[in-house]
Amino acid sequence: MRALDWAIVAAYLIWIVYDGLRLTKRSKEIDGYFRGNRSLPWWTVGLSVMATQLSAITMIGTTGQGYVNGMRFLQFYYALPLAMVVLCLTLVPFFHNANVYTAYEFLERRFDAKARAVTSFLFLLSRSMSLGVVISAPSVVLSVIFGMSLTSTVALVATPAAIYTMFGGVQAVAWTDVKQMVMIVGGLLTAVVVLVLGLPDGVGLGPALRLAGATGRMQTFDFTFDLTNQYTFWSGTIAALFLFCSYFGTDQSQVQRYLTTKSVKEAQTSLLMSAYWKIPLQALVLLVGVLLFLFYTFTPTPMLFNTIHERELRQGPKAQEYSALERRFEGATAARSAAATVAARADAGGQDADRTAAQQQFLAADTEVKAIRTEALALVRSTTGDQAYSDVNYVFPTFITTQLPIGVTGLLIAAIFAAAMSAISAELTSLSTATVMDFYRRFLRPDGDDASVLRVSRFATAFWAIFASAVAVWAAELGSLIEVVNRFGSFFYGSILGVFILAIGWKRATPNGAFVGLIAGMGSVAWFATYTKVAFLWHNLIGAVGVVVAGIVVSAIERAVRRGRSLDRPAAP
Amino acid sequence: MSSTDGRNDGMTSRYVGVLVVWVAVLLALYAVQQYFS
Repeated sequence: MRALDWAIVAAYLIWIVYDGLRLTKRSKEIDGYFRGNRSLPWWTVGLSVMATQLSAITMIGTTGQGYVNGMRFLQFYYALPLAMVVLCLTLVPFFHNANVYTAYEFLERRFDAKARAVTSFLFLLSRSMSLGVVISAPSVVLSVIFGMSLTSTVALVATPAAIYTMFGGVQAVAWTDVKQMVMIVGGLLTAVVVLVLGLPDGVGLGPALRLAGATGRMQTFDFTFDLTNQYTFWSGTIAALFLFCSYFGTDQSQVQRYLTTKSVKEAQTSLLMSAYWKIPLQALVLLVGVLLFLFYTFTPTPMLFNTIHERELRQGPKAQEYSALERRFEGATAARSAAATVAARADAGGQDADRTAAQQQFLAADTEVKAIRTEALALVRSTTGDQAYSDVNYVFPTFITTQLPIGVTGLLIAAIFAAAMSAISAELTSLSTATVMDFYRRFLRPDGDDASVLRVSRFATAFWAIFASAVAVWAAELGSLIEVVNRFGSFFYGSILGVFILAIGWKRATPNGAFVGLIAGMGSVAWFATYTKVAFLWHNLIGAVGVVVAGIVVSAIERAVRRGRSLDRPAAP
Repeated sequence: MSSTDGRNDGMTSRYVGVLVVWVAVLLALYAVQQYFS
């Protein structure tokens, strides 16, 4: 990164913190701090909800996924519009009319304080750990790209968002998200333009995308019904429906946002914005990955995108093996580039027979490149001992810092920071709200005045920022912990949704039924996760169904026992 | 129905609109997949 790029990133970070802090004066009392005085317009809330989901992991991880696997991951989002309609018709009106601060407060009104405390605690546990991962993933990549220590990049990623969230509350989060969203989408569109312009002369976008299609990267539908496959049409429309209903309907980081609108209709309209735009936006992110694949097909590409591991191998005991692989890789990529050019030109103007033959040659060359890269990755795995090692997260940042002109690099790095801050701030404010409203104000100081509650809220925000940063450093060192944390979260999502389904959909559900149901739901997920290979998206459905079935059965037994006791009781004289 | 039950104020037509756009987007994505494969 050059000085101008650093200046752009620094200017953006300073401006966004200043912009967030300006809203501190509107957050002098609890309602302003936690619910924005219920006055935010639907489009602000809608953009904020979308910005929250576009974390830095999306910018670097999903583009990397597009580079390796293409558009297949898009199927994960197919159920989202349906989930939004379901939530608009069910949970959103309930939450808004209940005038609550947290989703879990609603459960106390329906069941008891125990239901509220347990679900809120599970939220704090899973969300704080996942916030650590949200901070860790970009920090690890940026530390390699910038050559900085991990602690420094964790601080750089987490501190700006922590400052404006601490002082400005949910209003600062929502209004800065609008700007972050503009920055993120602007960055992605810039990347698309640069990548398309980077195609060689005589190779049009259509023929280039057909090359990507030949490798399977334009596949957006997989209709095979396989419970062990994460990304199929069926897991994306059935299992993911439960995930999205749970995430948008019961996760405080989302619910809090639509509690800030002035009416139910505005809350519903804000959610429908995601219903319209989420799939196209995710397609744009994955398209960047596919275009990166095409860019590196025609341009010399690094064999490994993580420069630290590349250097370690070059200087370590397997240096000779690595050099031999590198020579083979250079030859194979040159052959692939030539074959791709021939195939793209044949596609643009040749005969069908020429086109098919050229495409076959390109596919053979691509298979050879892939095989050598697999060998190189295996070499890293054997050296580092990290069996899950992958360098997909480094593809987009490597492109940004090595291929883009001065100024544009700074703009795109700022966009990655924008994505990180939008996710971190939303999670911080929701963690702080749940801590204060579900525990401090509920159990410790029910009569606390606004000033003291605000003080504790700011302290809670700072505490969670420090806690998540510590988790981020720890997660980075352990590597595979990130996957553990993601799986850990999937234990709760479906089960918590099940409790809300019981609360709203089953009038006879009792507090004990909900509690036992929650345990049973999490137990079923634990069993499926341990003893089967069912993909984790389906765990959301399993958890929700487990809670509802066990909750209904236990509630029915409890009612029957109570009825029996009242019949046994002697009649009053 | 009251204005807060989530089903009136023109919201029903918006939900139908979301579903129509959803189907259209999926069909368009399928067409893109077939065209470029």
